Amino acid sequence: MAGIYFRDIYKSFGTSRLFEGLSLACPDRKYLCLLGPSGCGKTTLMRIVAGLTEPDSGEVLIGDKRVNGLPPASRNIGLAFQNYALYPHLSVAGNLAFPLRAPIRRGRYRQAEIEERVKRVAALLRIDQLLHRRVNQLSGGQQQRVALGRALIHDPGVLLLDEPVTHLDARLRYEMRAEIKLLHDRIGTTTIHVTHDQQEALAMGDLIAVMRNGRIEQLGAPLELYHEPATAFVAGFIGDPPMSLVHARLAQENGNTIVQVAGSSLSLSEALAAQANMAPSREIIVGLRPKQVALVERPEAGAVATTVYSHGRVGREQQLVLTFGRDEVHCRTSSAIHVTTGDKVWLSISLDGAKLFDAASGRALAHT
Amino acid sequence: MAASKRADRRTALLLIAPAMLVLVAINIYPFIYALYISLHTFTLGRPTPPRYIGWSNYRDLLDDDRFINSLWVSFKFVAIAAAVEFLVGFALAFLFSAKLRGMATLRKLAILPIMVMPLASGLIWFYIFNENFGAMNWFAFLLGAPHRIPFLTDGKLAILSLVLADAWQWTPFVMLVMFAALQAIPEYVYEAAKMDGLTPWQTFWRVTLPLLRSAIWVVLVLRVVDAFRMIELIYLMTRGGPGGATETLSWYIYSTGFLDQDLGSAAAEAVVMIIAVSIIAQIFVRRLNYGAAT
Amino acid sequence: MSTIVPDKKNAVGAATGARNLAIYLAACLFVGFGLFPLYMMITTSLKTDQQTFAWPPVWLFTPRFQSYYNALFVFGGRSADHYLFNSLVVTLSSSALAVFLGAMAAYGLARFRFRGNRDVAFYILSTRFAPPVGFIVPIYLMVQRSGLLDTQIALIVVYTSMNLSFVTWILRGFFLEIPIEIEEAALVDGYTRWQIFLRVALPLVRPGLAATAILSAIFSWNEFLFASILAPGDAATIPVYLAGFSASMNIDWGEYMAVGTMAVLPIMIFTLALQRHLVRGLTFGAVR
Ligand SMILES: Nc1ncnc2c1ncn2[C@@H]1O[C@H](COP(=O)(O)OP(=O)(O)OP(=O)(O)O)[C@@H](O)[C@H]1O
Ligand SMILES: [Mg+2]
Repeated sequence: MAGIYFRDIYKSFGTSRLFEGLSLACPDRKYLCLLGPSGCGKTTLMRIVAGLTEPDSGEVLIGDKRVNGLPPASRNIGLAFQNYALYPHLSVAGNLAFPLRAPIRRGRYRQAEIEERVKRVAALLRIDQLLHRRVNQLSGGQQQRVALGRALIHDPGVLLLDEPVTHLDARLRYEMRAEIKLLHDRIGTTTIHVTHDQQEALAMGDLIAVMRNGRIEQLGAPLELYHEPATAFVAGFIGDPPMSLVHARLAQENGNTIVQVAGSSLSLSEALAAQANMAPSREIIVGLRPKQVALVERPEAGAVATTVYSHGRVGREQQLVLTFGRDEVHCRTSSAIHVTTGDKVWLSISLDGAKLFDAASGRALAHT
Repeated sequence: MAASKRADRRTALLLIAPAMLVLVAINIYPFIYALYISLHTFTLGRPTPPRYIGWSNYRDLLDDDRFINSLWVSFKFVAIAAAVEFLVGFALAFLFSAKLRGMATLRKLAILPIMVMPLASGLIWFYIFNENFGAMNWFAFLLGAPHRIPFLTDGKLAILSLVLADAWQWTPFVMLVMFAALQAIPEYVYEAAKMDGLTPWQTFWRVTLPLLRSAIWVVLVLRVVDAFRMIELIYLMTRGGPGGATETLSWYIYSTGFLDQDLGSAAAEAVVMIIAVSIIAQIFVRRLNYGAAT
Repeated sequence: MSTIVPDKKNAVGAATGARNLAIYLAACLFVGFGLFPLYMMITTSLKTDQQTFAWPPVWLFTPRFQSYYNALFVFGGRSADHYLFNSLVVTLSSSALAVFLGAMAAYGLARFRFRGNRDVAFYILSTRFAPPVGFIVPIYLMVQRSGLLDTQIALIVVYTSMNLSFVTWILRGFFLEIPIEIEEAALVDGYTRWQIFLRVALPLVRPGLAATAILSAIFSWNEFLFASILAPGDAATIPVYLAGFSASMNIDWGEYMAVGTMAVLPIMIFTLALQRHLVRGLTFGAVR
């Protein structure tokens, strides 16, 4: 078993530069979720670990071994592809046994042991009754398990799972998540799991690395990312709903630092004011959780005029998306209040527990 | 996937080299060799060694009436055969697209001639066109022809008889390919055209035809190139006669080289032919957008 | 004019009934035209000489198989079975070689990037257009020099090269259709590129291999020009044997047609078996 380390990775495709000095560490036995929007470079990063793509420069280490230039087969990894990539001409058993029969492992497993392992992995993933089926006769969930089994069967040092449950329907997705997690708890293989679903990352990861445009925005434990987002991007990506991001301006009033949002002035707690004073410029972004905003009947001091963009029921509450200026805010209210799209409503904002970010860099002010 | 570039390149080379070796031996080297021979007098079966004579084999071609005639005959044959096969085959593709019961079976039967050994097809047609007892003359008789028709021994008729035999084999090919291309056009395209108020005629010109462009192109070039090289029918049915009326370039090269045993001149004619066909092939290769796949 | 647009709906009414009838008639007429020469060949092979030369032609007669018997067992010198066997040897060897070498080249072209990849691919395609008669003189001399005249080896090599271009192009298309991830998975699983080719890629293009093998076989079986020049004697294939008949003044039509039928019928069966990939094969993947 071994950790996975990226050091100062550069990678371009033609003229478009993807990674410019990316570094990331996934310690031994950890389950790291790589989270980010489509096209941010998640799959490419996995392929670099696997050796299917070589970085232009920078080091990749598995354990304490530098693996640059090593062919994929010699890296002792298990990789489950986004689209399964099962061998259509082989049965389930044939697919599972395929890595064991590879020339690189010639002589390591006897026939009896191969059969024994196939049975064991199949039982583990509950596909033992399917062993003799052709893989194209399987459901998506079953194919997913075969792909997972094929990645596991030769006891790889690290496990790479590229969006392993994204294509499954909701129920199967939950089931598979639980099973994969359970499996990791049992065998403890260092795992990188790619996803663009923040719920999935929060539910499964020991660690989450949030990626954006080829950069790591933040690496941390799920709760850390939730409570202490390092950048506005992370804040706007994590949570259900995520934080609302509102552009604002710092100003001085009677010697106190205040925040101006859409013409209203809001005062800051002492702790926040201390953070605000570290701001490199006056332009900031305020991150707000839904509980920090509330609808009010009529314009009152500090309230902001907004327009209802959408509304929908969530149990007894309703969830509103309100817009003003270029920002939008998520807000929860009792469903007794009747609003329709386009209504003008007033919003009172409490900065208690808000996060402040520098508008230019997106970095959290506390973390500078 | 690019793990180790050098090993990859070696594997690619190992994979491609054997095929390239065969092609170099049987395609590139013979072409160069043909060039070499064409600059020599070179007579089959005579012990005198070949003698270098420069370009004179080529110069002789310009004064060679049979050569000029063979170019003209080739042109006539290719133009008529390709045109007939294409137009009839294309029309039939629409006919066979009709969604009627039994059409699939009819289609299967219709394409049977494509794979018939060309020499055997020459044999059959030689028999059918026979002046004394051939079925073609019997049909002519039934249709009221006053006397036996010399299908293969009259200059004008002979080339048309060859066209008919060629068309018998290759019209189904055009039909088959165009049929497949038609099937590949999705139904919604026609529905959209209908919504836009196009008449069937307009739909054909503005929708169907443009979508069939690459298929038409492939079929036409294949027919032109293959009609140009056709030799089996002539070998069996007319042997270039009567009086050179069906002596195509292919046949002329064959008979210069292996009937008159004048390999030097045959090689010069062959070089001219290869270059002519290469130009057609080049145009074709450039036009096809295979590049999208690479 | 409604056949201009393929008719995909079944309308009702007298007008469509008449139209359908016309379509059937036209289609049957064309099929009849296509089958008539084959019918003539088969019936003539079953006629007596008298019936063959009769005027008006005889349409109804009692078939007899004397011509087949003569062609196979009676004719002086080598009989038809010798040449059928030659054809079989040349056809099987050259198609096996063409498919194997073509598959390798196709895989190399489909899966590896290197300078000149496209040039090589287009060169291989362009050999499809090379006029055989243009190459016959130098190839004849090459074969003569190497002492391979009238051997099966010469024909096998020439046919292999002639079939390589379309085999390579069709299979290249098949290989490009395999999702690259499947092969990358095998790479991660510990296989070398060469083994991936043999154990993953080749099994996945099995339909393509079958189609190209059958097409190569048909072309080799049917080829006449090279066969007649390179193997005119003992190693002659069936078309050369057929052509030999016409050279004699007194044509034995019955036997001639009997050999023709034996040469053509196996191909008909292959053609029907090939249906699904025939268009793709004949247009080297440009139309499916
Ligand atoms: N082989 C390649 N050639 C050129 N560009 C590439 C290649 N592979 C990836 N890219 C580019 O790199 C960027 C990152 O791609 P990548 O597949 O890693 O994204 P991703 O985060 O996995 O996205 P998704 O969530 O959609 O799978 C994209 O902009 C993509 O276009
Ligand atoms: Mg991806």
